[in-house]
Amino acid sequence: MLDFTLLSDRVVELMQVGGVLFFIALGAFAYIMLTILINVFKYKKKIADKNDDYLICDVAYFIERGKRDAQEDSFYISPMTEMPDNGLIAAVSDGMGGLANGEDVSSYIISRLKESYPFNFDDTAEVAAILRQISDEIYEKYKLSSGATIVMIHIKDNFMNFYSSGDSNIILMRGDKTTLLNQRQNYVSYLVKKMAEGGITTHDAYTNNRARALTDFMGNHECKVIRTSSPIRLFEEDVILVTSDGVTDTVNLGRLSKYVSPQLSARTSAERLKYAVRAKKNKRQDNYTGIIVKMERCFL
Amino acid sequence: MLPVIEYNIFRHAGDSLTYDDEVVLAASVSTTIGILDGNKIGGDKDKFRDAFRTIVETAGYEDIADPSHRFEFAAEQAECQMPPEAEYMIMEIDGHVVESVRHGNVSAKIVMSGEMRSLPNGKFGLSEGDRIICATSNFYRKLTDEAILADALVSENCSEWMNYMIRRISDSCELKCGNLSAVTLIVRGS
Repeated sequence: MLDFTLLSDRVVELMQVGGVLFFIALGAFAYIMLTILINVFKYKKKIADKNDDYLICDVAYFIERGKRDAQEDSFYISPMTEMPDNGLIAAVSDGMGGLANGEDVSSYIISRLKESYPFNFDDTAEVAAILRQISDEIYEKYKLSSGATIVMIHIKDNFMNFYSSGDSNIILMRGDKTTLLNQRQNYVSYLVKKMAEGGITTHDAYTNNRARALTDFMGNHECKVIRTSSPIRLFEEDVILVTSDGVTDTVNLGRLSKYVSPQLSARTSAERLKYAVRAKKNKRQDNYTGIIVKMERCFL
Repeated sequence: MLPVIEYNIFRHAGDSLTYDDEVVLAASVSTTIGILDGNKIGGDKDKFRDAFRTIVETAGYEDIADPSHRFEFAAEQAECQMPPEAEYMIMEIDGHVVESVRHGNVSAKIVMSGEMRSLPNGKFGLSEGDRIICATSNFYRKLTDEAILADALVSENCSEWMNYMIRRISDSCELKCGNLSAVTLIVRGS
């Protein structure tokens, strides 16, 4: 057996201190491990409670100036660290061409969105009211001499709400189908409605001089914000594009799948789409901004 | 408490000379909707359209021994009186239950839990806020399920939903795509 009497008092003292430190370290280690295990258990339970596949968002964006004098597009992507609690917000605002201060208005909308974050996922009327409030603030300042469009998606727990005013795009790519989710608020809608009610075909609606004129936008007084009353379910490999019309005016909806694919990462898709627009060398290329969100499975 | 059924009907000849489809909506104790695709019936179209209209309109009133079998009776009548190649759908909403029978490619879709699903033949439970579209295959031809779903979820009422879908069909073919027939329905609280 060990005979501690042969050791000097100093060595015994050091061994005692070492022993105490060892037990403190062991306790701390056990505490940390226990905390990690509890958190992992809680997290797994949270996922299991959802009774669903847990999808995450792969997000990428591009913002480019076309042939315009200024960049009138602005965008916002909410912090990814906030996603588990508050979901993902992706928004693009496009200053209206032909009107002054488009740059200021779109950046004002985005800065107000940042201030208002987080948004209530379960109350889209409340979020739409915030957007209308921002629109009224712009109206008060510019009195219809300036305006911008807004498109915004809110993704949480495999579901998505969206908001739109104007003619920017929220596009869903699912399987081999590409669908523009939000309707453009332009004069064509009014003309088509009237012609359909009159029982005639609608060719003339598209040749009308005012066809592309916006009937609603941010900066209009009490503008109509298109919003989902309840969310759309998202699935693995869904790709959502939030873009200004500078993208879709150059690469039309039917050709988007040539550049954006669920088999590619969001970043690769964003790069391919950006270069596709650039490669068209459109002499009147509008500013073009796009946020690409790919829903993918999380292997935690 | 019985729900209130809000509806909107769209009939359009498109680029055809005549409108040959038939859309019937009869409201009595229950709401009965029928859509017949006129392009799929040969011969005397008017005769079959009249017969179909009568079947749907009288479905709610038919004096039969057991009123709970009204719908089955109407479905049987349609089966007997319509030609075999006819494409149609008859749907009855009674309280919180929808019952439907379809023949061919006229079909209904329902918005459920953020998804668009096909309404199956037979009985199906409804709840407040449910949105249903019943249309001919020609109406669906230019629409994706995702588009119908998005339009349904952003619409405040049936006519707005219908107008959104018409805009999409118009964007695709300027409504030059044959007869177009559809009914949108929203189940409202009593």
